[in-house]
Amino acid sequence: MQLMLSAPQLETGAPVIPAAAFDPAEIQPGGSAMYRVTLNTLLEAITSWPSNLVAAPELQVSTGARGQIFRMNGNLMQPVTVLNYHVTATRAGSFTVPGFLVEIYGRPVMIPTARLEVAATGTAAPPARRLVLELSETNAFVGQPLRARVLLPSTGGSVQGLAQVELNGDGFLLDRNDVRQQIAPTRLPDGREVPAFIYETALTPFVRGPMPLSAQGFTIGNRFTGSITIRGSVTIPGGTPEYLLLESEPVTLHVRPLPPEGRLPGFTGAIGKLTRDLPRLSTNSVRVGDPLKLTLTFHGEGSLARLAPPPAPRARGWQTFADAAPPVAGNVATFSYTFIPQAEDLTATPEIPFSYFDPGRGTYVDLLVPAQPVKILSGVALPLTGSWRTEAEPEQKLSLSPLAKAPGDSARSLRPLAWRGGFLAVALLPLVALLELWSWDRRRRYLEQHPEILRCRRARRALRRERRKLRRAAQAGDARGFAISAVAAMRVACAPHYPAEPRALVCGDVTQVLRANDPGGDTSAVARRVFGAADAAQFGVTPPELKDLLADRAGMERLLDQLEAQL
Amino acid sequence: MNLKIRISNFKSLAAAALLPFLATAAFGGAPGEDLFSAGVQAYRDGEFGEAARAFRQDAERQPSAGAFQNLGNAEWQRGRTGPAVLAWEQALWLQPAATAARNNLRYARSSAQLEAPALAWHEIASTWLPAWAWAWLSAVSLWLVAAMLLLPGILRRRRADWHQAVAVTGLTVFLLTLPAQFGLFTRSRIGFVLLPGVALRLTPTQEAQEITRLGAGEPARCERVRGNYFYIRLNQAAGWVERTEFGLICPR
Repeated sequence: MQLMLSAPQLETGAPVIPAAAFDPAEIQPGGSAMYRVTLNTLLEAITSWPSNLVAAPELQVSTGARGQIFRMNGNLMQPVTVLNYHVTATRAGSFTVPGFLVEIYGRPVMIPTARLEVAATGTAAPPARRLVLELSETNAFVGQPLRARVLLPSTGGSVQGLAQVELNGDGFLLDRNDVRQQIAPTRLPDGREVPAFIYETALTPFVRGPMPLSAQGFTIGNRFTGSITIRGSVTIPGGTPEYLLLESEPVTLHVRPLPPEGRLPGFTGAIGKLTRDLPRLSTNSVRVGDPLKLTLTFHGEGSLARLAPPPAPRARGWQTFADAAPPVAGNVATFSYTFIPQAEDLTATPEIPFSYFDPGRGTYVDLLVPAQPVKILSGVALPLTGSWRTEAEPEQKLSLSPLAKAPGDSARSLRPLAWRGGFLAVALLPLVALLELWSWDRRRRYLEQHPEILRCRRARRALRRERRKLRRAAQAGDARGFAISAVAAMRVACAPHYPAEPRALVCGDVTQVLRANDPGGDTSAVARRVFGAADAAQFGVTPPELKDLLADRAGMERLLDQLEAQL
Repeated sequence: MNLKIRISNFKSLAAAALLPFLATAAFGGAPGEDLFSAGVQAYRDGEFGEAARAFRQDAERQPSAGAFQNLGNAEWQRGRTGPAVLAWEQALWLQPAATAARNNLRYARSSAQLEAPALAWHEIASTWLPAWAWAWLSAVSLWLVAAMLLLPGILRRRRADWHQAVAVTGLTVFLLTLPAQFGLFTRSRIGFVLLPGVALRLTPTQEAQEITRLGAGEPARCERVRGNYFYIRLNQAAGWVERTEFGLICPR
């Protein structure tokens, strides 16, 4: 409260006294001047201001910078608000910007008339004072830190300071923690080397494309703020300063994106030229569970205020934490990491991948932090007895399971069953069965359409059976049995040709079959004789003499061979 | 399947279908109780090296989930993280429901700050059943579909609704087993670094440039084999390691 009470009060109730003037008041045709309106009020207090300034058509007017500063008036802080307009005259003459009404705190305030003399023959008035904006690079990459210098050249050998310095533009970050002020001889763009007030800061573009930038600042005479370095012989004016809002010519910064190719592991957006000191370990001999601190120091050519540290690596056997990074000022950044070994077989800290982009070479550069050898002592550090774990969050206890009491599921090999030849063979058995069934079905359907094949097959089987009986009868000298078997054999052999039931065939049917293939042969006579003998033996009253029938066994065999061949 | 089969040929088909199940017994077998018991006894006596040797011999003679789990325990007690992790993974390969092996893996990975292998969805599906079960499921479902589609025509039976229902069910099961089979195939290429500080090499040679050093128990996938070297891929890197330094779940 005392601090608040002791702070100088802001003067807001004083009557607003506007002032308007051209700087310089006299120019040549085609020259430019600054139309500057100065008000002893806050910028936020202006509630109504004309969007377009009414001026003679010979004057081209465009809006310039605007800003406010506070000057001490006794124990009061008096605001000073300045609004600039850029004015260019197209021809000679005397031109005025008429007075106009504005509203400040809702009350009308009349801005006075200002006159500009445009002399065709030249003028002795010095040109308007301007700031000079210099960038360390006008072609940069997105994220590349740049140095910006705002110069206020001396006038007549005396150097004034600057305050409320601003860079106007979009798409960049201004680092106000990295500001340097000095007064030193400086070479200006026009080649002159004069003492100048230099305000130096860092900016980082974050959008690509052309970026117009300009600087503005108030002259503050000898009321410097902050530390300042003065080099060379300079004259600093005394007395009450004149608070003028000055501007610089715009400078275009061309911003390119970073190349996606060639990006290295551990790239966190660092751009510039970096070097790294040797990593420092707090100790190289720890027990399992003891923390170990690794400190990294990076140096850069520019500000490292926005350097993102490499993330903590994940590695087996290590718990790793990135310590809170201290604020970085200047071109040195220091980061530290805590490593906690979890096993005794560790021999080195994990590597920390890190890389940066060198805009000069246009490539990414590796700054890998190599593994640092450590010795893990035997024994385990006592665990921390943290009180953060509550009963609601019980620690999940993991432990080694006891031995299995039985072998459990087993297999012949770890190879999947589907890859083993034996399984494939067994798995294909159903295919064999299905193929067999399919072929059986095809054969069955074929035989259904061709029943004569089955009849012939059956007839051949029956013929062979009857011929065996016939031979047995012949060997036994049983002429009657020979005749009956011979007739049966002839019947079964001829039945498929009709087709008919074998027992229904008579001698004529058989001889008809025999004649069809052997018209001139004697087999028909053999058949008739055998049929006759068989009929006599079966149906005759007295048994016939059949002894000579056996003598013609060879003829019977030929007959049956002929019939079998016809099947 | 309670199918009433009237035709003798169909009985032979059913017998052929049952043959795989009968053959399952032939593929398995009684594990060697002697080595297993000797290993358990050595472990209880604190002779972890002897126990590991017995369990390893038992697992080589007749791979079993219990032998691998106990082998993992013995190796872990010996401080050999890589072989322990591999043995537990092999126990899970044989018996996915082995909670003890799964618990041991969680414990080991938590203690040694190791990552578990990242499994794709079809690989996760393949862990739902043992490897042999997927094989039989695929074969039986496939032939069931074929039988339901072909047999009614061959046997001159009217195609009934239940024939089609069984065929559709079998086809569904078969299709569902295909991703799991593929998952088994890809999982079989997963392996683990067996020794601490194994060099990941740029080329499969002794004089190769080292890419990085690997910790014991780190998972990787084997992509190629050349001579005495495996080409393995980890999360962040890929390179060659010697065969003796890397163990596959399913050895080639």
